[in-house]
Amino acid sequence: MAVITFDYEDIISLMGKRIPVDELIEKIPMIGASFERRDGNEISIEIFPDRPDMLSVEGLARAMRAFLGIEKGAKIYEVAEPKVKIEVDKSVNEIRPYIAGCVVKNIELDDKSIASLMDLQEKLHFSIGKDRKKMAIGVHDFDMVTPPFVYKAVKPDEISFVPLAMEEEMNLKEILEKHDKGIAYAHLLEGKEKYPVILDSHGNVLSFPPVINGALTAVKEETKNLFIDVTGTDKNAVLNALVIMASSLAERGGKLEAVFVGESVTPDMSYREMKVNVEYIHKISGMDLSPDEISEALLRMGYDVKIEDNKIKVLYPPWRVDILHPIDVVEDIIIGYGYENVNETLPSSMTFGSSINHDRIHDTMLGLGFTEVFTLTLSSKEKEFEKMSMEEKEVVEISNPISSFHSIARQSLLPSLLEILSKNRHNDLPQSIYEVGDVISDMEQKKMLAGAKIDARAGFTECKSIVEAILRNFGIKMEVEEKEHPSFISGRCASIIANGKEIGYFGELKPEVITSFELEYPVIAFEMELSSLSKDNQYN
Amino acid sequence: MEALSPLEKKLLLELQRHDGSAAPEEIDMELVKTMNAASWLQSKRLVNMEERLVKEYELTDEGRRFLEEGLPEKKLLSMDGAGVDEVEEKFGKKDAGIMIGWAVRKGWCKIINKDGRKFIEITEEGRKAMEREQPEELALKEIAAGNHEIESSTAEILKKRRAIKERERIHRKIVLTERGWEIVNKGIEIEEELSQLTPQIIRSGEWKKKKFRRYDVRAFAPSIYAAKRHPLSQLIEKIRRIFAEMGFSEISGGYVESAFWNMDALFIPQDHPARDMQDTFYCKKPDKIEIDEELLNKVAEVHEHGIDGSRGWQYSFDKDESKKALLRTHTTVNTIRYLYQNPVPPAKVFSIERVFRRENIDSTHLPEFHQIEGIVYEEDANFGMLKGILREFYTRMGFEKIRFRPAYFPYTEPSMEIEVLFMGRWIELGGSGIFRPEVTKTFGIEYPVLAWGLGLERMAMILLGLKDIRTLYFSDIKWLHELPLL
Repeated sequence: MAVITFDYEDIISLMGKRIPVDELIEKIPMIGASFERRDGNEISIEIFPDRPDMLSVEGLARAMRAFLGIEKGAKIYEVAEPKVKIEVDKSVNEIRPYIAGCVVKNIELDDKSIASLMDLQEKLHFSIGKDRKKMAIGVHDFDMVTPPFVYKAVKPDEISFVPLAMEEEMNLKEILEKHDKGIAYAHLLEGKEKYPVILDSHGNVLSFPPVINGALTAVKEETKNLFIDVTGTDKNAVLNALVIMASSLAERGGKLEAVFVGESVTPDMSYREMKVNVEYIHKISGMDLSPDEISEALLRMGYDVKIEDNKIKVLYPPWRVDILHPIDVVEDIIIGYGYENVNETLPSSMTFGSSINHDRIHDTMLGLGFTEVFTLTLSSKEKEFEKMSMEEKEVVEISNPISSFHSIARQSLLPSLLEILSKNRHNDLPQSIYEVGDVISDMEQKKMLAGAKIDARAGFTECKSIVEAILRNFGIKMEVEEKEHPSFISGRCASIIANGKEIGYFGELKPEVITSFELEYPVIAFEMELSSLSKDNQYN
Repeated sequence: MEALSPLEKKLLLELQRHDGSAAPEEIDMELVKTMNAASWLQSKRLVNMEERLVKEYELTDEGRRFLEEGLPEKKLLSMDGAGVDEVEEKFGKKDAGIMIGWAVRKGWCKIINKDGRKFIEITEEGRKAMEREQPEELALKEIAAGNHEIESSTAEILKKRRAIKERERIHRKIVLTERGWEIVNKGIEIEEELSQLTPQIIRSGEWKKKKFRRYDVRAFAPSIYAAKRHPLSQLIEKIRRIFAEMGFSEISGGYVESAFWNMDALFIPQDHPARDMQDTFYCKKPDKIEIDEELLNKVAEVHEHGIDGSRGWQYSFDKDESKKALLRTHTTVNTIRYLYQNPVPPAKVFSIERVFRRENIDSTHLPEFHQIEGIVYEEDANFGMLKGILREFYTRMGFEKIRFRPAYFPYTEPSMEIEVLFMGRWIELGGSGIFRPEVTKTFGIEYPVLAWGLGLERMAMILLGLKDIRTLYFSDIKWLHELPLL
């Protein structure tokens, strides 16, 4: 969950129009974001994962400016012709093959905009970059270095430089071993014989991606011109991240200048084109929106629109990396039109309702004075087997449990019921509880009914009466057979036989099971498979 | 007139006989019955129980000797003019000391020194006193007779002389109040009344001759509780009924699923954060679930290059990742499977089942909870219909104010969040949307599919006013018993 925090005055100055803070907070969610909190002038907004372009106050301001009608339509940032070149050496191909860059000139930075820039960089690292694996961004003081730059891979001890947050030179190997960021990201270069670096024409190190930049190009408030590099293993991630960084800096007033990267030029800030059928828009939205209404909605979402016959040609900004299919444009049309303005209808197809309920089971158990409980499916071998005096059986096991108490799927309901009784020792006796729930026993999921009663005088005969009463309600004549179950007193446990098949068991629990749940009174219990009792009850 | 039991009436009459005030022991009734009747009458404000702390005394062995032999100092009368050494010789040194000590202190005798010897000289006052009964002796007689009202200075002396022991006791008195007197003065008639009606009384016809005692209907009756369904179960039943009434059929699925059905089939990219070990429970046993190869290829192709004009995720799909076994993270896996198996519209299905997320247990999180899942699949399905259905559902659940806003889920577009107004606050209750074409086209589903996954526990918590979600799964039986039905 990515949350950005910004100053109310800052977004107002970026939007270019004063909107009262309460109104702003009410409107932002309607573009697709969640209001988190406000602390004085500080506003926090959760940005959804599909909108990395709004992961900065600059990006959010741009989107809101169009949405609120302050400046509708496409926002074009001029990009000057490339002068600077990054040479890409073949040596990076097997390590981190992609790089893109951009120069941003005449930017005025203060502590707030630097903080926002760094925050955007970090948020992009996590979202698009998957914690720098797919791509990582470097931001440099352009005036400290001399192009052309070269991106190549070198041996770990071949080059030394002063990394950010350090004062002496270290080679790449030392950085991975000693520098905080080196330790954190060493795994991304594991097994590589060479590590990537970006150097200037004098051999100065700009960056050791994806780990750390050189101290030389650190950005300060006095910095006027920036050089942005993005390296990575995923070409789209690299290009998209650069476009988002560049557009945010341009929003701050920076002048973009493209960069030669090998044979190509980055960033590509041109608008992308997509054709959307008007009928499709009508069908999905459920509204016969006119071309003007569609156009207006798209302009509010920062698009450029051309309508030809029944097709709408939309031009969407390059930072809208979430648009994969015309459906994404349709959603934006509905957002631009306003979710609250969409007419509501109901299904027109005729269908008959039905439900899977266990009303007859519940009626029976309530009639017998048992109160229903809900317990967790996640359990432990200790609870399922050890406390029940049982041998371990094969169960569904979780490889990454939250704790050993919740590391398997339960194979019986009884331990959960005993746990509830254990938690209710302070309450009056007798207590009679039951649960209808799923277990996975013998690696097969089954719906079970189980009940337990704790009482100073609870005994086998009463338990037999209860189980017999349940089966009687389902028109089944119960037969029993002696059963040896390790949780029950020997000679006081029986199989429940219905139509010649064992469907469950009941009896008096052993004192060692009773005491393992810290109980001190006799407990009778039963468990049976629900499917053998009745077919799921359907009604309509 | 108050409903009075025969015992209460009897006690009132007894009190009248004792001029309106008596100790319980003085009442001519069994003590337990007296006390019970008194406490009932007190609750009816007809009597008061007065309590007083009193001192009681008991003779010691020494005290009993004083009583039999008289005070030791009296024995000095016969020793007038004798030497102290002679007194010691006659009574023993210890007793002589006590006699002479007290006699001197009371001014009954003087000690005269003559030729180096000490002699006893009884005073006139002493002579008279020794012939009379002393206050200490009178007090000892009273105590021996069971009377404890003795002068405190005398009691102090006797205590000092170890002749008596003192203890404190509470003295109770039952006293008629003004209202009590009113009732007594009106006259109380004790006639035999019927209390518990018995089969014997019914059969014998005894009831025709006697009056039924009037009971105090306000009197305390012990609490008993009706067995009942768990509140979550009641809520599920209500939701089930609403969806069935709206023409939906219920479906069900298993807990253990493949990453393929839980995620890949829903176009959730394989590097999506929700697929992390941090968020999803993966299974060690079973660790793998086989997927139909043809289906797997189809979904892989959609992820890599898209379908129906989509660009796809443009990454390299890992088929082994698809086969990983996990505990389903949402019940949307139920609906996508249903659509795969039933691709012919229309369909309106729902499920209310458990899902699993890797959350630590605290007051707002559990590693498993329920989702209210549903889909509408028909030719005319659209966004306005999604709003309409969800408004209908929440209105039937009793929420009057409902609002919708944009949201994001990887497998729906448009996506929509639903909020309801409860006690003046907007509360998020669930996500919804229309399945992306990358999801539906892959399975040959031709029309839009409206889908939602709503939270059950969250709704239960606001309806029950719960602050802690754990209350639902680690229930206190007393809480369950006392909770009204939903």
